Amino acid sequence: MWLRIFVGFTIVALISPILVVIPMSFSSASFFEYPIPGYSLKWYINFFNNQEWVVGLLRSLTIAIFTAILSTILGVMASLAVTRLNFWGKKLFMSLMVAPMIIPVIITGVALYHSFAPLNLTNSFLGLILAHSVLALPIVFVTVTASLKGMDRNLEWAAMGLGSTPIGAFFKVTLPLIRPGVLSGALFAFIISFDEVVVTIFLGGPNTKTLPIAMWENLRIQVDPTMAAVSSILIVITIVLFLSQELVAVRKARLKKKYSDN
Amino acid sequence: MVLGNSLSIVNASKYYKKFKAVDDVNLTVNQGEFLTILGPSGSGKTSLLKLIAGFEQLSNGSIILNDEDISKQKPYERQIGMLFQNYALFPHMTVFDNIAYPLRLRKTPKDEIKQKVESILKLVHLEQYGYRYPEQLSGGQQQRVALARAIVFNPPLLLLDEPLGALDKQLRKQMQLEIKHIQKQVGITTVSVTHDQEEALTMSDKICIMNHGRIEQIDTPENIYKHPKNRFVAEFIGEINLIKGSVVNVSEENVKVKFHDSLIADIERKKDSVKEMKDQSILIALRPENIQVAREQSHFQNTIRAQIIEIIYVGEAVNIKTVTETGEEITAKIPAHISDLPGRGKDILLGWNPKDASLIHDGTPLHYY
Repeated sequence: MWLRIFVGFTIVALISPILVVIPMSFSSASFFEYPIPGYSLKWYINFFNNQEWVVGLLRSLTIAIFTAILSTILGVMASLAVTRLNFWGKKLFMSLMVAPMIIPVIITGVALYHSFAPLNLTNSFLGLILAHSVLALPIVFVTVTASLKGMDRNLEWAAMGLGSTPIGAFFKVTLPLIRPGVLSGALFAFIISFDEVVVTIFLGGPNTKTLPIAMWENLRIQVDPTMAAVSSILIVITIVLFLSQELVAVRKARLKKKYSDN
Repeated sequence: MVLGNSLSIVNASKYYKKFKAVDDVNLTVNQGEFLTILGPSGSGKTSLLKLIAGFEQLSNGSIILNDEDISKQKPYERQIGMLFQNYALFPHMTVFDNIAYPLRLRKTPKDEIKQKVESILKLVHLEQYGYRYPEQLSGGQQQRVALARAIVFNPPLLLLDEPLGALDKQLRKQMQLEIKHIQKQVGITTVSVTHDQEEALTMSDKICIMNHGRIEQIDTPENIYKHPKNRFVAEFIGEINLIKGSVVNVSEENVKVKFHDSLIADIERKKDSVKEMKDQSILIALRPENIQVAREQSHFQNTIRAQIIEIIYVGEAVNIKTVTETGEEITAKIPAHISDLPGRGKDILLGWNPKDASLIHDGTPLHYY
């Protein structure tokens, strides 16, 4: 009983400050103020009418999608190497794989700026995708490695014994079984890239002003409830992504059950 | 119906650094035969199976299947059906898709797949279960699906890795017979690996006993049990009494062995048993069930007097533990319905027939841990 109350309190304390922006975004006032004097959609209209916001959103989505794809492919390959092979320096390799998660982001930002600038990768989509992938790789690596460790290795042997090539066995047997891990890794990678600010400030330029950067600049110059509208949109996107992942899992379980009842 | 093909393993060795997992093994499995490799853990039996399947590469020697050297081939080129201990059914596929998997890899036409899968499901008595997922089946059913998947593509050879290890005792007995019947019906050459001697005795046409990477004996279950070739085999399979003695006389049919200083036993000479020589020290190997007990006089040719130290009731039989004057322990197993047994501490006469004992060399110590 006390445990429940405590947990409930914690959740409310953590989430309520975030959720406050949602009613605020529907305010008719020109400043952040409580109580809300009236309701209006004008900040959402303002958002979609402003070229800078919309372009920023599209850029963020594009970069996040490519980051998710790239870091997932690399992360899965790294996880396979770590769980399936024994090689010299494996422990070191694993620490290096998760290093971007531990090193302060601002250091990563400075370092990436110094190494990307001579290669003309600043102020470019490719540069941001690569940089975000560096940040997203550890989380993909960790989730996929966990799924691979939980998988029965005999299944791969069995597939090969039945006549499958190792690559065939990976796509037909291993990948379907670790798919939940891979999907959640990809989802986290997407979200890490989607709201990345620090590294993007270092590497970005006028061509690559993503939504979080646009928000950052907006905050510094003027504060109007458009910010609240943008934040609400971001929150909704995040929630929808995570819920859809859950729904897929639930539907699959139900389908399986239906078969077994026949 | 599938016809299996003969398998030969020639001078096969596998080294892990300096450790010899498989040490110069030679064996042949004839077409349609069921061979069980039996041994304690670390005897190299699983390594040998992995070598045949292609999951490990030989250090030396060759593996010949159907007149073709397959030792350099990758597992997926070898066309060998394999049954794993934990079934290794693909959990994300239905029973039908699991069994169809090897057929699809071989680009079998769709209607042929359907027909083949359905007929093999019939063979393993699971016609109704094609659309279930493995997790919805019992252990025995999963095992049968795994067996169906391993033989549906007509492989020349079937490998079983501790096939019944995960099942409970009752089910294991049932599955032993079922797998054996299916194997005979399909006629597929089969190599099984187990540490369960009862399973080996029940299922096999031939048993190969391994220890320290080497083959100790290959023979029919009956011959392995009745005429173990050496001390390791004798002690590994079933219960056995080993009595120290030395050869005093060798004739055409019998060997006379002196034991306990003064007693003489007649032992029938077997065709391919050890080369007995006069004065050679030797062990008389005697199964407990071949020993009869009597109070005063025994009509058996070979007898020895001993004191009862323990009587253990095991259901259908009674194990009588005795100790001889020279301190050797001998166990006799007699049917439980014999009731007039003397009690603990009493003297008794143990007797056996010349043909029921075998002779093995002394000196191979028992160490297989």
